[in-house]
Amino acid sequence: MLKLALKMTWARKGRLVLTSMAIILGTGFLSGTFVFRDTINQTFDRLFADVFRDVDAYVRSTTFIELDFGGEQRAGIPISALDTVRQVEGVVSAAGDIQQFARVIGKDGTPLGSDGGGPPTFGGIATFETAGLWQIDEGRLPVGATEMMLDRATADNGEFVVGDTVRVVAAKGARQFTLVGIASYGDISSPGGSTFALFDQPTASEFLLEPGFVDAFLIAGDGSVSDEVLADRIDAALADDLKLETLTGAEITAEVQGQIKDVLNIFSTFLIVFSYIALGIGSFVIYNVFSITAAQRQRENALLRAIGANRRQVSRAMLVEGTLMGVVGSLLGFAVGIALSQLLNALLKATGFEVPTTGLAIKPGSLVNTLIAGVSVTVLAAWLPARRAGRVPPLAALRDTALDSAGNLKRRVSIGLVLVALGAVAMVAASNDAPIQVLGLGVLGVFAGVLVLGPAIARPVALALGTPVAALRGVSGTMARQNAARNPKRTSRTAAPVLLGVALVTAFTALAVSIRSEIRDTFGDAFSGDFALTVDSQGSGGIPLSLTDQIAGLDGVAQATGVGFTSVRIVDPNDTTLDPSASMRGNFVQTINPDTIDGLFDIGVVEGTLSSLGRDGILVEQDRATERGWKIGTRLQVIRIDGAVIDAEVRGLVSGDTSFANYVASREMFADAPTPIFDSFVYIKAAEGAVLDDVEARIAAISSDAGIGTLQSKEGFIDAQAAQINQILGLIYGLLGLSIIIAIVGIVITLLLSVFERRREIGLLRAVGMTRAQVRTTVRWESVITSLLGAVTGVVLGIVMGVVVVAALADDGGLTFRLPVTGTITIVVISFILGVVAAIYPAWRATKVNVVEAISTT
Amino acid sequence: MTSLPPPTTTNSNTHAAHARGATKIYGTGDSEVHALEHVDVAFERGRFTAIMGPSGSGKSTLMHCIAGLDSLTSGSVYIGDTDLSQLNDKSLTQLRRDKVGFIFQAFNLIPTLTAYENIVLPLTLGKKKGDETWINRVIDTINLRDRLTHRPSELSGGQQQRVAIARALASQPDIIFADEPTGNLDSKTGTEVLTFMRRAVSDLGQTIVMVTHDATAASYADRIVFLADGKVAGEMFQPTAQKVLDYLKHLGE
Repeated sequence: MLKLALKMTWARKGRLVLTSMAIILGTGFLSGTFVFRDTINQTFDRLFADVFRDVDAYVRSTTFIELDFGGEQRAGIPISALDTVRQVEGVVSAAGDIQQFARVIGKDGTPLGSDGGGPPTFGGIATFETAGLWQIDEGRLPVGATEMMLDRATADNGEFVVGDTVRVVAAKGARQFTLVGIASYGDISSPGGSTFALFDQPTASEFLLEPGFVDAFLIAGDGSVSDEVLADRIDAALADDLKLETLTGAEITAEVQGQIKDVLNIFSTFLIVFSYIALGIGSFVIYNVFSITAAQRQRENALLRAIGANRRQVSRAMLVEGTLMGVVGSLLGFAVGIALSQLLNALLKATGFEVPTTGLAIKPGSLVNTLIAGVSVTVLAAWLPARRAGRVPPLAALRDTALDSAGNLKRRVSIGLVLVALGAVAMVAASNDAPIQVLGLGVLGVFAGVLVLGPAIARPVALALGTPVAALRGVSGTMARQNAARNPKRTSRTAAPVLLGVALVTAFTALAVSIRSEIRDTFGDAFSGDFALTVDSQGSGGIPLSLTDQIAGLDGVAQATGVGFTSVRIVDPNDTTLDPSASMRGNFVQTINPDTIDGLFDIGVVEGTLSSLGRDGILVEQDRATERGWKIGTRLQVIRIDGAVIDAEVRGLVSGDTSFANYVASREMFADAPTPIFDSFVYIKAAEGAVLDDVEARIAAISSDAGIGTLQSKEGFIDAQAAQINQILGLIYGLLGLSIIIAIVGIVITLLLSVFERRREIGLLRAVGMTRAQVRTTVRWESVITSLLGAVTGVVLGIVMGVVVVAALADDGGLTFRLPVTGTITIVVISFILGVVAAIYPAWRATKVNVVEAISTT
Repeated sequence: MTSLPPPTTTNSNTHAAHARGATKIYGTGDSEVHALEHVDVAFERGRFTAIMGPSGSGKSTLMHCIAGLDSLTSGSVYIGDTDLSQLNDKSLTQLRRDKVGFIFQAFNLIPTLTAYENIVLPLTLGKKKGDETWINRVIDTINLRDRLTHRPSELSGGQQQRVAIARALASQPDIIFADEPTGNLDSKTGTEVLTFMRRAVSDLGQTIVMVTHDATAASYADRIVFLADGKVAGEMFQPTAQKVLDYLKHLGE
C-alpha cells in the first residue's frame, strides 16, 4: 500500500509542485529568518573577535546599569589608573578607550549618519598601537585639542580630505577640528555603517565624556604569562576603592558578542514569530488543497475501497502524500529561505545598516527546525481530509460527480457560535482587568469560531457580494457569483487566509489609529509653545544642554525648555522583598528643567509640584507608585550610571500620558555626573509680538550650526509624535504582507483546481459560444468575490477585535476607539486587486481547456 | 468509396452544412490513426439526419469537426457559406454561438444556472435578447413551462435533456448537432426526447444532425449516413428501425 501511495503521488507530480507552493512559501520565510539571524550573528561574532584580537586584558568599572532594551551603560574610569596598569609585570602597552556619542556634520551642514533610527554615531580615542583593527590609511594620529581623525567611509561620504575643517557635535556641544588623518577598519571602511570621530585621549575625554575619564583600558601583554594570570595581576594592582574589574580578552569578546546577540535576537524573534504566523496561515491553504484534491479523487479512493482497501489504507495513502509534500516543500522552502535571507541583508544595506557579510551561515539546526515545522504543519493540515477520504463509501466509485458537501450546517453553526461566544466573553473579561493572556485566548476563540462558521456564512455573503457583479457583468458575472457560492466549504477555506491576514491588519490599524489620535490630543493639550527641536536618538546622545540654554537666550524667544532621558537604578531601601544587589536593571528617567518647563509643556503632574523637585526630588508615574506603595515623601535611592547614590524623595506623581518614562527628575540631579545627559526635545515659546518666522529662522540657524535636531512647528511636532506609531505599524504591515502573499497563492491554487474540476463545464460553455474573454471574466470575478469575502469578514472581525483591545487598554490612559476609515478602504481595495491578480493564471488556464476533450469525457 | 456526388457550388441554399475531403489524422508516424478519410457529406436544411456507425468509425469526430469544435487535418467544412478553416478562435466561437446548437449525451447543463438561464445561455453570451415569441414557442413545444426556475439538479434526466434541446433551439441556429442524445436515458424518456427533436424539425423547421448507434433513435431521422473506418459507407432515406438493423447486419458482414 505504501508503494502504491508513493506511485500515486508520483503520478501527480505536477500537482505536487503546485500544492507544495504554500509549504514552500511558509517555510521559506521561516528558514530565511533563521539563516539571516545566524548570518548576522556570525558576522558580529567575527567582527568582535577581530576588535579584541590584540587585547589580552580589559579593565572597566564595576558600576553599571542594565538598559531597558538590552545592553548596559557603565561608569567611566579615571585615566590616572592607567599608570598603575602599565607597571604590572607582563604588560607591554595599555591605553584608554572611549566609545561615546559624537556626530560629524557634513559640509552642507547636515549631520552624517541619520538622526536616530540608523546605526549609531561614535566618538572615540585613536589608540591604534594597542588594540583593534584600526589602521592609519592616510595622514597621522591626532594630537591636541584641535585635531581629529575620521573613518574611511565617513570621510568619503562627507567628501572630507586631510587638512579640512570638520564640525563635530558631542556632549560638550559643537566644535571644529582639523582633519589630520583617515583610518580604516581592517578590510572594511566602516564597521556596521557607524561613523567614527577619533581624537587623542585628553581631547576625547574632555569632549565626549568628562576630563580625566575613559570608558575602559585596553591592555596588551608580552606573552610571558597567560591572559588569566595577566588579568589577575592587573586586578591585584588596582586599588579596590576604584571599583574596577579586569577581564581577559576572551571574556570581553564573549560578553560583547553575547550582548549584540541579545539585541539582534529581539529583532529576529519578532521576525520568526511573524514567520510562524505566516506558516500557520499557509496551513489553511495546505488544508484547503488537500480537501479539494481529496474530493476530486473521491472516485479513485472509492475504487480502492471497492477492490478491498480498508479505510485506514486509503487515509494512510493520503497522509503519505502529505508527508512527502511536507518534506519536499520544506526542503525547497529552505532553499528559497537562503535566497530570502540575502534579500533581507540587501534591505538592511539599503536602509543604511551596512553589515560586513562574512558569508552565509547555514546551520543544520535551521534546516532541522524548518523541516520539523513544515512537515508537521503539512501532516496536520492533511489529517482531516485524509480521514474524510477514508470514509468514502465504495459506491461513490459508480457515481458521476464528486463535490464535497457543506457538512452538517446546523452543528457547524452551533459549534461556531459557542466558540465565538466563549471568545467574546473572554475578550470582554479582558477589557475588564482580566490578565492579557485571557485576551489572547479570547481572540483565538473568536478566530476559531469564525473559521468553523465560515462555510455557513460563505454562501450568503458570497451571493450578496456577487449581486453587483452579476448585475454588471451579465452571464459571466452571474456564473462567477454562483461559482463562488456553489461550494461554500471550499470558498470559505480559500478566503480564510485573507480573513486572518485582514483581521490582524485591521485590528492593528484600529489600535494604531486610536493611539495616534490619543497622542495627538494629549500632546496638543500639553504643549503650549510654538516650536520644538527634536532628535530621535533617545538614550544615546542628543541635544547638548548648552544648546538648549543657548536657544532660551535667543532674541524673540520667551521660554525654552529641554526634556531628555537617561537610565538610573531606583532602589527602595524599605522594600525588603527586593534585594537591591540582585538586579542591576535600570529605569528610564525623564530629565527636565523645572525652572523653565512651567507653562510650556505639561508633564502631567497629578499630585505635588514641579517647583519643589530640586536635585534630590523625583516624580513617579501614579500607577507605578500605587503598585509599589510609594507616596509623596517616600525616600528612594537613585543610583546613577557613575555609581553615585542620591538619596531622593518622591515629591510628586505624574499621570504618565506626556512623560515618556515612569520617573521624572530635574537635570540638576545629573549636573555633576561624569557621563553627560542630553536633551531629546527642546520646547520653545516665542516672545509676545515676535515675528514667528524670524524666531524660527534664528533657532534654525543655531541648531543647524550645531548640526543637530529637527526644528518643527507645534503642528509638525504633534504630527511627528503621532507618526512614530506609523513606523511600528509599517513593520507589522510588512510582516503581515507575508500572509497576504500566501493568501494569493491559496486563491491561485484553489482556482486552478476548480478550473480543472470544471473543465467539462468550461468546455461546454465554450462549445455553446462563450468567448475566451468571457471565460476569463467568470474566473476573475469568482476570485474577486472570494477575496472580498475574506476581506469583508476580516474587516468586521478586525474592527470588533480592535474595539475590544482598545477597551482593554483604555484604563491605562483614556484611549478611545477610532475607526481606521482609510485603512479599511485600502484593505478592501487591495483585496479586490488581489482577487484580480490571483485569477490571472487560472483564468488563462481556463481558456486553454480543450473543448472536444472536455465534453467527450464521461 | 463515395455514395454521394460532390456538392455543387449552389448547394448552400439547400445545405445547412457540408464537408469536402474531410480528413482527420491523430498522432504521427507509426501511431497515426485516420479518424476520417476524405469524407464528403452534406446536410440539407430542414431535415433530420442521423449519422450511424460502429465505435471508432469516426462519427463523433466528423460531428465535432463540422460543428467547429475540432479542426481537420485536411479538407474543408462549411456551415452555410462559411469555410470554418478560415476562422480564428473568436469567429469560430461566435459562429457556434449564433449558427450552431448542441445537444450532448450527458446533458451538460450549467449546474449553477436555472433551466431558463440555461436555455437562453447562448443568447446571453452573445448579449442578445433573442426572439421571445420563438423562445416561448420552443418552451411550450418542449413542455417545460413549469420547470423554468429549477436548477439542473432538481430536474430528471429527461427534463434535463429537454432543457438542453431548448437551449440548442433558442437562438434559431442554422444547424443543431446532437451527440447520442438518448444515450443516458431510459427508453420511455428517450422516445419523448426524440419526439421533441422530430417536432423541432417538422413543426419548427430546424435542421438537426444526430450521431447515434441506436437503430430506434435513428429511425426518427429523415435520412441516415453510415460511417465505417472513417469513410462514408452508405446512406438510407425514410428509415425504420428494422431497415436500419438489417442494413447494419449487412454492413457487418
